[in-house]
Amino acid sequence: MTSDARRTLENELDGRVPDGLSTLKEEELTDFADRLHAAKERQSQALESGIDQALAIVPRLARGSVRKILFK
Amino acid sequence: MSLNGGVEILKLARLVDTEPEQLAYLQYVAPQDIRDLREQVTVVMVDADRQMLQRVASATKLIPGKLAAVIGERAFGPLLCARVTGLLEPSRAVEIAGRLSTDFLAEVAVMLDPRRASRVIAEIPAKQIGDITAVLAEREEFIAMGGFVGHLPEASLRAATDAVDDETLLLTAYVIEATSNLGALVGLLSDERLESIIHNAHELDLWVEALDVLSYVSEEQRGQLGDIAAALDDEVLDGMVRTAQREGLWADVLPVTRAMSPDSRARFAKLGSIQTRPMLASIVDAASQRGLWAELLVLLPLLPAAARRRIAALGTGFGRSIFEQIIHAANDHGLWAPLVGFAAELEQRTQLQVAELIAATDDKVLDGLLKAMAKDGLKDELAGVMSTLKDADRERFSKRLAKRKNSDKLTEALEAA
Repeated sequence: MTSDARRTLENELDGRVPDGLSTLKEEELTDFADRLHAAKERQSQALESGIDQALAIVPRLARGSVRKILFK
Repeated sequence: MSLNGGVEILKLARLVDTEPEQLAYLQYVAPQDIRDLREQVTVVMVDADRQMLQRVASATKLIPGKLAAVIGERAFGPLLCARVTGLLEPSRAVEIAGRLSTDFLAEVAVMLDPRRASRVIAEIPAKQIGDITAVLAEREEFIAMGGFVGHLPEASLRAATDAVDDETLLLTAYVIEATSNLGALVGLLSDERLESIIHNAHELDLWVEALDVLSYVSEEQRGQLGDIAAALDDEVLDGMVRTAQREGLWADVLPVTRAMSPDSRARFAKLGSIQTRPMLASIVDAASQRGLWAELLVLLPLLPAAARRRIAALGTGFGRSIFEQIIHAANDHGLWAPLVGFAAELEQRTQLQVAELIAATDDKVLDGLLKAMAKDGLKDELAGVMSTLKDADRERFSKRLAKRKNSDKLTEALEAA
């Protein structure tokens, strides 16, 4: 039977959890799923703020075209 | 040789931006499973923002390289630049990289999945690779450096190895991502550099790392490196021996001694540090657990008599299945002479066990033994061992011998015995 913790990690991994991880406790699987989720979030936030800062640097003339590509 | 679980946890921790201690619960998971998990995490981390990253890569085409470099360094930061790198045209990525500071590129290198940016890495000038490597070495980014080895062309790999000291090179080789590239890496290094590395493995107490690397290189390179070690002071080999004993690494050392030149092996066999009972017991144990009988057999005749006697005493506890393995190893590797010599030194009850097994081998193995006997002149020792057979068995064996080639001298010696 698939546990909730395992299912959560499978969702984060978008695939099966390696068999060897079946020795982990529920809370350990949950801990890893949380860390992976947080890492993805941080990456997305960094991307968002990076794009905002980049648009401020791009010269006004090119900004429209760049914005169009980024947010089409 | 298996993957290193600790190293795999370190790599995974870096990927999810956490401290390795936080993932201590993975220490009992097989390293290969941690590696599989890391592969999955790499894919989802890169895929998480793929659409947006792809758009960023497309937008980069609209702006000059100089501006892209400014945006990369000031606005995006190393993580996003690392994610975008593999999505850019390699020539464009190399052009932008040429305008970024070495320190920033080193930060990007730490975040980069080299497999997704292989073409870019291959096109970066060797000089720049050397400069980035020097910064990574200063920051002790061994894992990051180890990930690049299989992706760098020869000139870049040379520039990278020239940029780091022996300690860094060893620690990087120890955590290299693709161990299949270790042979190529070692192949690039001059004899002088290899000697310096072996010397420093000893001086800096890095034999664990050095032995791990030795287990992945080619047989020829293993022999070359073993010869280099054997040509240095005794204390270098003693250091390797102490490490093998302390860390249970005899299974890594024995293949090195087998690959060495006969002179180097003889020097190793005479080392004072390996002659003690506990050392010899560990060596025999490693041979038994990992089936390294050929490695032990080549060493046996070179050991001083007292050490051989100690091993013979250990041999009394081997049992039939172990002796069967040893007999097959001797036959497969043309090592009958050391086996017969060893058997001759066993006490009589154990000799009988060996004799019974030899008498029961198939014709192919027996012919191998008789051929070796004709070549190496082992008849007296062999007759001594085989004469321990009970009368009926001995008679059966003699009848069997009569039908085989090269058996006359043994038959005579057996009769005399």
